[in-house]
Amino acid sequence: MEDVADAVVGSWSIQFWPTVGLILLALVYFRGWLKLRKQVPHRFDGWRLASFLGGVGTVFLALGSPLDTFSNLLLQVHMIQHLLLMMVAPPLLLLGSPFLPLLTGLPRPIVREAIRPFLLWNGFKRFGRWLTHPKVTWIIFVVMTLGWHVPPLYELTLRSPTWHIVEHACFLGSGVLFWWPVIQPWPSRPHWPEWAMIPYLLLADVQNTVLSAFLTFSDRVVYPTYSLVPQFPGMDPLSDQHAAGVIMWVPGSIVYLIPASIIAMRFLSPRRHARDKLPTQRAWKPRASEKVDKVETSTRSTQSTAAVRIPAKRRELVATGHAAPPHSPVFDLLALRFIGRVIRSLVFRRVLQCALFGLAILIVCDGLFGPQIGPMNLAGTLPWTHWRGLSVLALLVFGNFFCFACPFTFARDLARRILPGNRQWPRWLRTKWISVGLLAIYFWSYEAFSLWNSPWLTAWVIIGYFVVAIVVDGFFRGASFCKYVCPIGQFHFVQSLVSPFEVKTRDLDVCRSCKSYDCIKGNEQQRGCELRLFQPKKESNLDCTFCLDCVRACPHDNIGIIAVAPGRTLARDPFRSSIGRFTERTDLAALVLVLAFGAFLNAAAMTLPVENALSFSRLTLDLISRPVILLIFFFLVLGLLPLATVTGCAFASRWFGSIPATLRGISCRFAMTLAPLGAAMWLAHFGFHLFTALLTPIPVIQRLFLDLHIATGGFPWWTLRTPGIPQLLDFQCLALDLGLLVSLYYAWKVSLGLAAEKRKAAPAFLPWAVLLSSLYLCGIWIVFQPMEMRGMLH
Amino acid sequence: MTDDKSQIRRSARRTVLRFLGVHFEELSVTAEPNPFVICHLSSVILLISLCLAGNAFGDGGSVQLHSVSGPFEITLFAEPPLPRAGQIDFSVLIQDTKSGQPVLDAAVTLAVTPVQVHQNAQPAWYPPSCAVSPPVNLAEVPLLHSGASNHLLYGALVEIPAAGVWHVRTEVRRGNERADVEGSVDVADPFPPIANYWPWFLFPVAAIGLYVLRERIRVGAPGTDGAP
Repeated sequence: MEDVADAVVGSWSIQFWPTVGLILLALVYFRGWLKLRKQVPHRFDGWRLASFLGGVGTVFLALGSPLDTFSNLLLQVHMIQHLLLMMVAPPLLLLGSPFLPLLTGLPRPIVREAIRPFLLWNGFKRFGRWLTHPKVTWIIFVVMTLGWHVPPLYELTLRSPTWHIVEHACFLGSGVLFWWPVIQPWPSRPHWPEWAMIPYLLLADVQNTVLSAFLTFSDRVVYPTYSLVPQFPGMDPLSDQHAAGVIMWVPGSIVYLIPASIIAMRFLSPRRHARDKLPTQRAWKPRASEKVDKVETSTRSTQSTAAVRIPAKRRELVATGHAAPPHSPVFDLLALRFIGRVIRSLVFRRVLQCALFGLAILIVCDGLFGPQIGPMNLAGTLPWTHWRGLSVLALLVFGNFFCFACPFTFARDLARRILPGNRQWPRWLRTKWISVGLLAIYFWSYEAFSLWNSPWLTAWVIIGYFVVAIVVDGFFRGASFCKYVCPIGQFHFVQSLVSPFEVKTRDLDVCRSCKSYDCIKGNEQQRGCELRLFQPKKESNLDCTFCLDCVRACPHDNIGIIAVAPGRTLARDPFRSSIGRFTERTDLAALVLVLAFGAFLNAAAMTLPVENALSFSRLTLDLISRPVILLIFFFLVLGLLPLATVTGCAFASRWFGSIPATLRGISCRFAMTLAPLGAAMWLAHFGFHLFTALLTPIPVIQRLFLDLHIATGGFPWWTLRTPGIPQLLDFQCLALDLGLLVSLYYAWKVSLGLAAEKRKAAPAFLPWAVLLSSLYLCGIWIVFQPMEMRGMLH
Repeated sequence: MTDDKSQIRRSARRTVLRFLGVHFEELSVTAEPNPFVICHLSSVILLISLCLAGNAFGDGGSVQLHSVSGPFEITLFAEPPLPRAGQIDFSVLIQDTKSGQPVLDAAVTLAVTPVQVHQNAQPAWYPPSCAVSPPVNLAEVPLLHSGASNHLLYGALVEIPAAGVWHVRTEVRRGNERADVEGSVDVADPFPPIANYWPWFLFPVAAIGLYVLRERIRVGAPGTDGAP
C-alpha cells in the first residue's frame, strides 16, 4: 500500500513550456516587486509577493502535480484541478497587485517599445475597461464554467490534449477576470461600489450550486470516459462523480462565501463611515500609464550604479564641469567585481589559449595516428560537433569567445619571437575577398571530402591553419591573418554582430580629452589594437577579436564589455574605424551573403532530400565525381543565387522605393541585414549537432586513454547515447523565428533610412522581406527533414 | 567581524540576484529596443525548466485494450487518444483481479506487429531529434514505471512507422504468474509537421502584426509624428 501511495505522490507530469512561462512570470514579478518596494513599501509588502508566488505555485501544482496525472482517471481529481485554476490561483495572483510589478519587472525597452504604445491606446483602454466590468466578467465566468461542463465539450477535452489546454486556459483566464472586480488589484478603478460584490459572488455561487448539485444527485455517469477507464477499489464512476460534485459544491461555495462575508463585514463596520469621508483607495482614479511613468522615473533615479565603472578621468571632467554626470548606467561585464577582473587579465587569456592549443595538438595527433572513423576519433567529434556548436552559442550569449581564446594567435605570438613580423600587409589585399574565397572552399570541401568523417584530413586542415597563421603574422605586422585571411575569424566577426555584448568605450567624453591614443597605439606595457580599431570610432563587433588589448592599454580605464542591443549597428551606416561604411564595402557584403546562404546550404546538405537530389543529378548528368557535382551545386547556391537575388531585390527596392543610391550601395546595406537570420540558422544547425551528440567524446576519450595505456578511463562505452531533448525542434524553430524577426526589423529600419519618402519605405522593404521570408521557410523546411547523424556512431 | 559577515552576505545576495537576472535593470537602459535583453535570464529559466521537465510523458490517453487475464486485470492506454503513426505513448495499468489494487512489481513487455499497414500512405514523420533514439525492436518493448508520468502505470514511447492496423500484445510476468492481453489498434496517418509545430510558425506572423499595429497606433497618437 505504501508503494501505491509513493507511486501516486511521485506521479508528477511537469511540462516544459508551461514551466518556463511560470518561472519567467515569477521572476519578472519578483524583480518588479523588488524595485517597487523601495518606492511604495506599504503597497508592496512581503505578503503581496507571497500571494503572487502562491498563485503561480498553485497553477504549477494544478498543471504539473499528480492532480494532472490522475485527472483522466478520476473526475474528482479533475475537479480539484479545475477549482485550483478557477478559484484559488486567480485571487492569489490578483492579491499580489501584479500590474505594476510585472510592468516594472520587464526590461524597460520592452515596456517602452512593445507594451506602452498599447497601454496608451484609447481602444485598448476602452477594451480593458469593458472586459473588467463586473457584468462582463460574471457572464464570461459563468459561460466558461457551464460551457466546459457540457458533456460533449468535456469529453472533447478528455480526448484531445490541445482542447484540454484550451479549457485550462479558459478556466484560468475567466477566473482572473471574475476575481478582478472583487479584489480590484491596485491601481485599477472599480466600476461598482464594493457592496455590489456581495450579490456578484452570491449569484456566482448559485450557478456553482446548481452545477454541483446536478453532478452530485445525478443517477447516471455524465461523462462516459470515466466509466471506460479502470476503476480503483471502492471508486466506481458514479461515486467518483458524486464526490466530484461535493468537492465543487462545498469547497467551491466556501471560496465564494468567504470574500462575500469579508466585504459584508467591512461594509457594516462602523469605522467605514469615518473612512468614507477620506479619499479611499477604491475611489482613487489614476491613469495607469502616468503611474507607470512616475514609478519608472523614480526608480531610475535611485537605480544602483554599482555595475558602472566611472573612469577616474571622467570623474575629473565631471568635477571640473567639462562633462555631464553619467545619467544612463549600462551593464558592463568588466565592471563586475570578480568576473571582470578575471576576463581582463592577460593570464586568463593565455591560460585559455594554452588549453585550446594543447587540445588542438591532441586532436591533430589523434587525427593522424588514431582510428580513421570520425565518431571514434577526437578529430571527428570535437572540432565538427562540439567546438562549432559551443562557439556559436557563446557568440549569441556572450560574444566572440573563440577569438578571445584562439590557439592560432597563441602559436603566432610564440613564433613572432623568432620571425620579424615587420612588413605591411599589401594594400590591395586589405579586403575580405581572401576570406570569402576560403570560406566558399571550406564549405565545398567539407561536403566533397566528408571532412567531418575524416580525422586525417581534419588534422591536416588544423596543421595548415597553424602554418598559415604563423607565416602570415610572422612576416606581416599587426593581426593581418585575423583581419584579412582567417575564415573562422570572419565567421565569428559576422555572427558577433548579433552578440549582446560589445567591446566599446564607456564614455566618449573621456576619449575626446585623451591625447595618447594608447588603445590603438599601445604603450610600453601593452600593445594597442592589432586590428586597427580605434575605440571612439568603433561600431559593432566587426573585426574585433575580444583580445582586450585596448582595455589593458587604455590609461583611463575607459573601455568595457558593454551590453548592447544585438545587431543595433545594422540599422545605421556611420563611418566605422578600420572598416568604413557598409555601403562602400562590397567585400563585406559578399562575406555576409556567403555566410548567410552558407548556413542554409551547409545544413541542407545533410538532409536526405538534398542528398538524393545530388545523387540523382550525378546520374542524370553522367558525372562520376561527387566533388564535381558539389562544386556546381555550391557555385550555384553560394555564388549565383546570392548575386541574383540580392541584385534583383536591390533593383526592385530602388525602383519601388525611389531610393537615390546606387545598386551596389543598396545591396551592401541590405545584405548586412541577412546576418541575424544566418546566425539563427547556424545556431539551429550546430545546436542540433551539439545536443544530439553531446556525450560522444566520452567513449572517444576512453579509447584515447586506452591507446595511451592509461588505465583510468576504462573500456570505451561505445553504446553510450546522448539522451534526446524533446524540445530540440522547438528551439530550432524559435531560433529561426527570432532570426527572421531581427533581420526583418533591421531591413525595415534600413528601408526607412534609404527611401526617398517615408511612404516609399514599405515598397522598398518588400523585396527584402520576401527574400528573408523565403530563406526562413527554407530553414524551417531543412530542420524538419530527416538528417544524417554526423559525428555519431548510431 | 559582524560587518564583514553582513558585507559578505550582501555581496552573496547581490550575486544571486544578478545571476537570477535582477541585474537587467542596468541592461534595460540601452538606447534602442533590445529584443534579446532577457537572454541570460531566459537561459537560466530554460535550464531550470529542462531539469524539471525531464520526465513528462503524455501517458494515459484513451483505453485501447482491457482484459482480465489470470490474476491480473490489464488495461492498455495510448496517447494520443487517436493513435497516429509516429511516436505513441503506450502505458499499461495492471491491477490485482481480486483486490483491484495496482500491481507495481511486475515485468511488462509490449509487442507491436503490423497486420495491415498502408504501404502507400504518407510515411510516419519523425522530428530529427527522434533519430537519436531510433525505433526500438517493436517485437519486445519493455514498459517501465519510469517511462510513464503516472507511476502506477508501466509505459514507453513507441515509434510506429506507418499507419494501418497493428496487432498489440502486452505480456505481464510476476514470479510464476503470467498473463497477457492482445488485440488490434488502428493507427491513423501522421499529422504533418505544421500541425504539431504551428505555434512557432504563427509567432513571427503575430509579432509582425503587433508591430504594424503599434506603428499605426503611434501614427494616430497625438503629439507624435509617427517616426519609429
